[in-house]
Amino acid sequence: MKRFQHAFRHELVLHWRTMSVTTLAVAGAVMLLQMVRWWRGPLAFNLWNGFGLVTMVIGIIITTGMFGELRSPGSRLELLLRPASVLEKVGAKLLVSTVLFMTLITGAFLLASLVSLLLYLLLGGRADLLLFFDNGQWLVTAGAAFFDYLPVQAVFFFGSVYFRKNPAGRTLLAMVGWVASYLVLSLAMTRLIFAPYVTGRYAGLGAPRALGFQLDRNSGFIAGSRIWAHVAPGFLLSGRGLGITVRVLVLLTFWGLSFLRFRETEG
Amino acid sequence: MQQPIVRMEQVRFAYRRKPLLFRSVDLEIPPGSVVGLLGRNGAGKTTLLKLATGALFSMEGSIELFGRPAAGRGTSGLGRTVFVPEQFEVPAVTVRQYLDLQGGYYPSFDRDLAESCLDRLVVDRDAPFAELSFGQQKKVLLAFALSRAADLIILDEPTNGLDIPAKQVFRSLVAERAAEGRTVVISTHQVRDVENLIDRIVILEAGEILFQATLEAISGAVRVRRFESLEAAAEAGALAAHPDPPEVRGLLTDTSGDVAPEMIDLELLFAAALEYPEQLRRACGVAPCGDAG
Repeated sequence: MKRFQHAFRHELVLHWRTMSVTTLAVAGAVMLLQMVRWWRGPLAFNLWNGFGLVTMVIGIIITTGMFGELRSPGSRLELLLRPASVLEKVGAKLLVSTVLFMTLITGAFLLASLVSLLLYLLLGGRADLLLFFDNGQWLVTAGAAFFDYLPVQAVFFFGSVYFRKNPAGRTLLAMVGWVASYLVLSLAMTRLIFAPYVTGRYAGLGAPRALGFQLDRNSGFIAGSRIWAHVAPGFLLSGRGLGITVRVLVLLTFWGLSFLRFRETEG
Repeated sequence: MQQPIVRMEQVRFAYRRKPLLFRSVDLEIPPGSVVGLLGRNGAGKTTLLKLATGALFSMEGSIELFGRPAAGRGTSGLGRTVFVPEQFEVPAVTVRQYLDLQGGYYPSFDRDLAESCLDRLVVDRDAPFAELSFGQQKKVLLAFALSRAADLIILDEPTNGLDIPAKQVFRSLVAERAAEGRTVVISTHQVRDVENLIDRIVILEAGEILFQATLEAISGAVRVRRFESLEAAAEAGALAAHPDPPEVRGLLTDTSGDVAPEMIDLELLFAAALEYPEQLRRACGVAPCGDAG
């Protein structure tokens, strides 16, 4: 535990400056962009509307830089031979790019909201001041953004370990390629499996009724909810249940893969 | 007999999409020795050191570090090892912060000793590490490595970039660690910098361990003599000869005669090992220690 704490401290020292400067700069930029609207007088605004998008973009940049040491032979050897376990080294980087990053970006947005509010009051604004803090829901917004960010972080975290050059671009390309091939494959598979129900003279009339459900012509696609409605467990059909399940699976898969990949990395 | 610090058996290795570098290498590094790993560029010195620490994985064969598979990169083995590479990149922290960050992983790290090493090497502790010159950065790495009380200290081209006073300090620091019984492996081209330090020599050539012996065995088997010319040295049967104006120094396996023996010249020994490895091995009474790669 002591070694993990030191590994975390090590990562913190290495990434602190970049992370704090980046998050503050971004929050400041978002705040300034909002203030541009003040040229005719102060308007109350909700800075937190862009929080999810900003978190995602900056988070991806921070995450893909987490294994920056692997890109150079000089620093790769130091990281690999650092006397901490793989779990400690990867875990420390994970903690920095998730919990620490989210704390920093939330703090930066809070600060920006406070500064905007003060300026607004100084300029004589009188509207509902809570609007500056997402109507008091900023913590909920930050939590939801974190929830959305985590699976994306996991994928890019793995990309950062896997790709030696341009990890962000290559991960994005791999994701696009994977999604495209998945969609094409699922479309083809569904068309093949459900061909009698969606094509030909008796489309939509025959077998589906025997199975107790009706396919329409637009549901020959595996992502279509009507197919899932008959094959997936009930709790998955609620948006929340499916969302949580998919996120947990993505996190476990990609964080696990990152661990394994790092263990196999050579200097 | 004490367990070797590093044991390699029938190690086979090639970089991806590159020709085979090691076909079957056997090597043992006993505790408490100061090993000089010599070889030409591309001979595989750095690769051998990386394999020994588990930074690279062999294709076949076994490599043990402190009795455990090196490729596992176990914290116990890595905690007893320190590796100063030839090429390195330093983080954007001060020298003091660097010592804190790295030292925190090693219970045996002696902060006072590190600071005293830095003083002897004349390095500013509060300077931004990344803004120092290459030589100054190297001094910091060496100070850290030699103050770590590690059981195995691996130094890859340690004197590259060091100024003359720093080389002297480096030699005395290595001698101090060796006197404490630490094992030191020094890979270098600049043999003159480490001539008085090493007590065992391993010569690599084209991915093969061409020759390895203790300096004691070598000293008893070969002799350096002075000749008037290269021709005279060749006539006397010198395995290697280098001009050392106004004379020529030659390495002979004939140790008879009443000429006062000179210290073993590592450059001559290296040249002899490349040219006549079998004769040298026979003279030193050592077996062939690695197959051709």
